[in-house]
Amino acid sequence: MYPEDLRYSSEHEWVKVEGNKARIGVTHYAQSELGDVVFVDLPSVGDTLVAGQAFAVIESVKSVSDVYAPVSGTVVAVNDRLSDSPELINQSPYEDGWIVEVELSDPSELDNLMTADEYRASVAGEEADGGED
Amino acid sequence: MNQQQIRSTPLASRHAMLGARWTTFAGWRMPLQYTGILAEHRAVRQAAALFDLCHMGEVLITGEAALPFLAWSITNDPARLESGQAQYSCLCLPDGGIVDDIVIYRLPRSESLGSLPRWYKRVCRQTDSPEGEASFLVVVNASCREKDLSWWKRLLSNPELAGPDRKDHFSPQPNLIDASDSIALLAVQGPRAEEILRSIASLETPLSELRYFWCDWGRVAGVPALVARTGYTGEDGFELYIDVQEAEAVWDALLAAGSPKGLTPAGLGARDTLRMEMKYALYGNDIDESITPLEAGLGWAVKFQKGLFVGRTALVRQKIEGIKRQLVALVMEDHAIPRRGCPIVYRGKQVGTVTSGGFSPTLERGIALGYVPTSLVPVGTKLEVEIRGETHPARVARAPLVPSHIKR
Repeated sequence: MYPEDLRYSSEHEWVKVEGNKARIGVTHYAQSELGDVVFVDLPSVGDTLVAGQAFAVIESVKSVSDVYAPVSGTVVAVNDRLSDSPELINQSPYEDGWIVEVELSDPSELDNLMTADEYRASVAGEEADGGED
Repeated sequence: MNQQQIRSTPLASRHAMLGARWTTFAGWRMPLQYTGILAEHRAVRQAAALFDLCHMGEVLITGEAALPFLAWSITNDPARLESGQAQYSCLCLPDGGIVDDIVIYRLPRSESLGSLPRWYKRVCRQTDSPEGEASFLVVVNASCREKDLSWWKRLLSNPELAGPDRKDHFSPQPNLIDASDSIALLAVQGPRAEEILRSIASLETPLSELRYFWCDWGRVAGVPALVARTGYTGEDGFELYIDVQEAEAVWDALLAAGSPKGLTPAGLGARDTLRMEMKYALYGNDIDESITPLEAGLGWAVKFQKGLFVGRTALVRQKIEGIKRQLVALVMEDHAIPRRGCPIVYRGKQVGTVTSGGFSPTLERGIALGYVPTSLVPVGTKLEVEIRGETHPARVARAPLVPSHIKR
């Protein structure tokens, strides 16, 4: 559920680093908490992401959630398939449901993110708290 | 509200086994969804779904004065009800504000006393009345249960609270009994509901002859039940009032009988999207004590001809002076999804606020309910909804937003 080669944020985003670029999406835990995703408000190529700030909005049937940038950078690609098929976030959060790709402006920010093991442990803690909305 | 005060239904362990995601609603821990709101919503529109509605409140009003007292304290006219018939109504304050919206069942007489649920027999014993004697079952919102009872009791002891609509002398005083803790309410809703229920139910009248907003005593999976053809989804379906001790047995029997026919458990998430598509108001969202039935589009449940009732003077005045704002249903014209609290905008000015909003699984668009000035109520009126600082086009739509399939 939490691939080893990704880095994770406490806000439930994942980052996949390739050179100076990073692909960003939301985790299995996040999509499960959201429920059926029905709309994704995406940024545009060229937009600037600032670590910790919201850059996209995911609407599920029951609620609306911001997606926070786990790292800073410039958007170089956007997953346009989400416009017509927002359910890809539920069906394939780490592959077809990716959200944006950025060029990293400060690769040292990656050190602030969690490993798969660390993230798994933090999610287990949230689930133990009850998993209420 | 702290943890100790959160209530659980008798079906909580069933929901946990089914992997429910939970939500807290009106002080109750309730299933929000099992597999997903979209799938559960579609099951109700296309096959059938099973809902745990044990959080709802049930008040029994009995005695000779039950009918005149009810007729005076609510907006609809229960005198029109035949034995076994049900009616939607509002309970109003003297200023016309809605205390609660309720469904009243005039309980049917029974041929076979052995088939009656304990919750009913107990009330008959408590009130020393023979079975079938002028009793009404009133189903109230979970969030209003204590408030409604105390309002009714205060009206009885203090008739001057009704102001210009005062009425005294209910003699002997009607019995008001909160039976919520002894009744479990399950709903089977959807086009295949009758077929599924028929396979495990026996009623004094055949299920196929039970009409919309009628009820009868019977047995479901051998368990005595009040079976009503009512619901909150816009589909055909039934609500079953059974003894709380039997909730798990009936739940299991319904799922076993219904699963091969597409019956799936559904949570409050789907219940909300289903009722929004029908423009059914939700108490606490779309109606409350600051709204009158006339503003909420519930004028059909206000019967001025019946004579004196609490709120009548204020509602007559509002009718004469004109209704300034009314509840409308909106369908978004782009992909944006309106949520409760979003401003409704007309020509750059806020004219209202979304009281319920979300995604319609049937229309695959955002929909909303909200109050707007009466001049903007006509179907087709172009409005906008402000969502996260940006306005999005919307249109006033004819309700229900998707075709209803209730059995008239």
